[in-house]
Amino acid sequence: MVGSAAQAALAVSLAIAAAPSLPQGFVVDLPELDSWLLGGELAMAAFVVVVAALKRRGLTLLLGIAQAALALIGERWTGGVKVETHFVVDQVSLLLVLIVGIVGGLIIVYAGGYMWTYHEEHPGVRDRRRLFSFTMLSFIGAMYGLVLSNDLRLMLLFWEMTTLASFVLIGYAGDEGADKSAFLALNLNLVGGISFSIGIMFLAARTGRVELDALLAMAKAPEAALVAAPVALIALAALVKSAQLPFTPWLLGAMVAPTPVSALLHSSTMVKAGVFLLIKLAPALSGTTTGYLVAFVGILTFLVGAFAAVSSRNAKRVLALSTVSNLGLIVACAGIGTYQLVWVGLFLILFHAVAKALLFISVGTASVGTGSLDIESMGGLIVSMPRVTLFLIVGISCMFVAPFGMLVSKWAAMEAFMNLNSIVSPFMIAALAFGSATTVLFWAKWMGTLIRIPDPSAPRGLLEDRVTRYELNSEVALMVLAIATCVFYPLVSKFAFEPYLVATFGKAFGLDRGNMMITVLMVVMTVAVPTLLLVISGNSKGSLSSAYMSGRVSGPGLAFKGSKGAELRVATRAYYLEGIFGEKRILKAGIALGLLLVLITAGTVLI
Amino acid sequence: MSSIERSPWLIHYDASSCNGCDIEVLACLTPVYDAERFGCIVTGDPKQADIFLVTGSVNHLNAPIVKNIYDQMPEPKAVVAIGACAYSGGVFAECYNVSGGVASTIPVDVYVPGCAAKPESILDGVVRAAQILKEKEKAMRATRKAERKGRKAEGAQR
Amino acid sequence: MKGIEIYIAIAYVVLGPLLGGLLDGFDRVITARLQGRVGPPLLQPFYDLRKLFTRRIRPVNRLQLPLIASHLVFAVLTGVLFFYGSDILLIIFVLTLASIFLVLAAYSTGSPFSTIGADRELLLMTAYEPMIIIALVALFGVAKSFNFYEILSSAMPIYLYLPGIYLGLVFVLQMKLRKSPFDISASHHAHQELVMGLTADMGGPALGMVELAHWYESVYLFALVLLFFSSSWVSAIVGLSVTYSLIIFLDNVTARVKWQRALSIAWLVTLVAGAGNLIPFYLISRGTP
Repeated sequence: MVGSAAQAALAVSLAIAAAPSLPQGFVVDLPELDSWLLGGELAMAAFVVVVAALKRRGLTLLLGIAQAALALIGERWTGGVKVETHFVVDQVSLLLVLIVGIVGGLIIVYAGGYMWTYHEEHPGVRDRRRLFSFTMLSFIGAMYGLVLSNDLRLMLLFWEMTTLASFVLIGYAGDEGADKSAFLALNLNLVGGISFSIGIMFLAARTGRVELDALLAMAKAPEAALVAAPVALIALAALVKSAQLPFTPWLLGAMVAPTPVSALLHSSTMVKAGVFLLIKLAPALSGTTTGYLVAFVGILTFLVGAFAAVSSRNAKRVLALSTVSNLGLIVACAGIGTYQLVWVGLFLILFHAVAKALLFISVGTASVGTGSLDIESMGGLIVSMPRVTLFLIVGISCMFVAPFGMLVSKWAAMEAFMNLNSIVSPFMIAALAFGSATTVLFWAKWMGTLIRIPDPSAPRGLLEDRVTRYELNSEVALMVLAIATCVFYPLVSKFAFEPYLVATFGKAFGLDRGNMMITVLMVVMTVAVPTLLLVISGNSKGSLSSAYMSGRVSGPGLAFKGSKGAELRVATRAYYLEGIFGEKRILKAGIALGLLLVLITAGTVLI
Repeated sequence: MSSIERSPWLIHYDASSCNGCDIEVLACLTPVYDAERFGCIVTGDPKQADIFLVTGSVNHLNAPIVKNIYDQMPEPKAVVAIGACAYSGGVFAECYNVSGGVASTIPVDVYVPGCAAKPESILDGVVRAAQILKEKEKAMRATRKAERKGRKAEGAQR
Repeated sequence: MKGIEIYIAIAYVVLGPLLGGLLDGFDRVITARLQGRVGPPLLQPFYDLRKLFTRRIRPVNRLQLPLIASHLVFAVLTGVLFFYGSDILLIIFVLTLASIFLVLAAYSTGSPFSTIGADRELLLMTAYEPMIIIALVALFGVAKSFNFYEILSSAMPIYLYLPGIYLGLVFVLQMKLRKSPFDISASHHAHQELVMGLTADMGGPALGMVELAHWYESVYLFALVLLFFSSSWVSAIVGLSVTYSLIIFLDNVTARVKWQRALSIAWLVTLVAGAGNLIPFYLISRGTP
């Protein structure tokens, strides 16, 4: 708890301190830095090897050894390279620092309450809450390092740290399912890490530099061909980390972890590291074959994620698929990489982090109350858990309803794709149109399930007594934050993103001021109008009538009277459209297509 | 002209009719009789209906249903009992399970005679029911006004 | 044009229902004549609406009426923004917001009829949204603007550039206007589906608000169609009348489809007529800034 507050305070103070003059570079004046880096890499590889050996995982063992070998071989080129700035603080990294600090911090506060109930409900799981908190905090620490690094070797070190931290957290429960998912995540991300380190080696060998800003500068200069391969390799690592197709299964498998872990993985850390790196690389990706391929992987993931989410009944899985889908859109923006799309991508990162964290932790709380993660079991949650329902509804609204953040970004994305003047734009627009329509479907039906009131006379809040104070506090904080980001985003655009775009692309992009004001006004209205009407009608104590049940109604609540006076309760359930949007089928097809695109990318690297 | 007279929406329930009257009710909707001329719409939903058309006699099994549909209609509302059975139970009046005409369960405003009732007379019944609705609406307004006045006076006394 | 938008927007709030109600009234008269009936008077929709607001009915729960009222508020707001000249792409997203409120109102009752109606309404939204978005994007492609008045005054015969998109749009308008063969979530006039589907638990003023919102919506939906024919007065009048008649004609000659078909047909039409029009158009107009 204290740790979480301290690191959030640190993030905010860093932001305030650094804000006046961005970007700022920092140098680590440490003569033995190279040896430290090598030591760190080897230590992590050793950890992987030991764990793999203990659990008898041959593939992981090989990957661990490969990682160590690469670190040693890579030393030949990357060791002793002259580095001008090790860390750079700019608006984008500061945004990530704030997201990680505040959202991550709130998730840890939430975990304080949730893990207590978790262990009460899962007596079979060994209580390792100290390890849990330690890993969560180191995860956040590694994220800070990752987003601030300019030296790619440092970034790789932090990159691998997040991989290991997520491995430990996913496997927390210690049973077979958790182990399987943890190793899947580890394997895929180790592959990504290996691609990353090969990328750095290429870069160092060809250009003698290992810094991100140098890489970006060269990508625009005549030596662009030299850095094409490293960019592609690093982008591949980012695709793995951000769970794009065909690497999506690791993130879906990670659902087995306790809810705070999922919340952390999906909102502020891990997957955001991947899209962060791609957004940073956007100037280098823009207009290249790799860039287009990355964009197609992204838009494919966007579509597949949205389609698959329709047929899923498991609340966490729907959230996971929606994360995958939204990340896909960010990746598509980064892959095309024009300044407008980078603006969109940045906002998607921001809005998604806050809303998704809120959703995950609220679903966690709801599942403790209802005893299930099935969306159908949340029917009528507005009666049994009114507060949690409010959080969920705000979170869901932020994901798909018009004036809220995600939709504003999608709208801006649409306009940006249109201004592209390239043949990919009609494809992107069509995909975006189909994807966002599907998004409406799966969120709205969930929302409908939540507010279904089977019996208005039933007592309220019956299932809420086990909700801890920690959980409520973080949920309220995140809800306020989610609405605040939607209201104040024009300021974020003006003071953070537009300066960054000017510095990076020489051009600024923001939505038209009038439009931004309209969206902000609409957010206020969307919150105020229903609330106001509810308050007004809440005061009227008039009696209610029963819902229409074809005449043969039986008493209060929804039931028919059957023969001989037997009472037959009504059960409704939302559409899942397995026939059209069958999750398994769609994911399989998506993985195959994604694999194809990645193989083509790999092919272009070799050529 | 009051709005209710121009737009009486109907709901039709077959209590235990032999289907003779039901067919005639449906005939009202066909181009020959065209009930929509009077603004009639047959909705399936009591919550949207103003006039309740009941055919056939009411028996013990369907009496609660007739009652239920009637209760779910918004105020003010009118009931039209169509045909001989709906009036008194008709030829089935003496059956062990029949409780009688519609009036045995809910208040009836208009009786349409016939076995089966003719579409023309059904339409006539609906139009009359609409007029009765108009009167009811007026009465309802008056009571509401009186209530409001009474409440005000009460408040002043306090 | 500048400055006048605000007056048009205000006029829309006042006169929108009048126009929407008349559209509905003509529709009912024409439909009756097509079926060989006399049909109701032209002003029938207004009588109906007035009557609905005089009824007294208890709501099913405390959420229902606020949600329906929000639906009306946001449906009107959508139109106001539209005629005020805001970005029409944004407006379509707001339109979704308005529909969501209606769907939620239906879900909140928990009754099987309302719930299935709401499910189907969502499905229809999924079915028609891509086509509407693609249509707007294509309009932008021709007129280079997202402002209603700027596209209107671009004076280009847009229907010649975007015939497929026009047809696709008419196709999905059939859903938005609750017309057969897509009146599967709630139906109009004397039709019934799932009792009254989405509106099964709404009576009296609640239904009145839904109806009013529908009138407001139909006005700007037809204004959207107008954009395709804005090159001259003649084409505007001919285009709108043809579209209106086409919609009524289709309503009368088609049978209701299953919901699975509704989704797949609409998406197929969107892909073939919508995207199939957009891509060639894009290829031709590419390079012209």
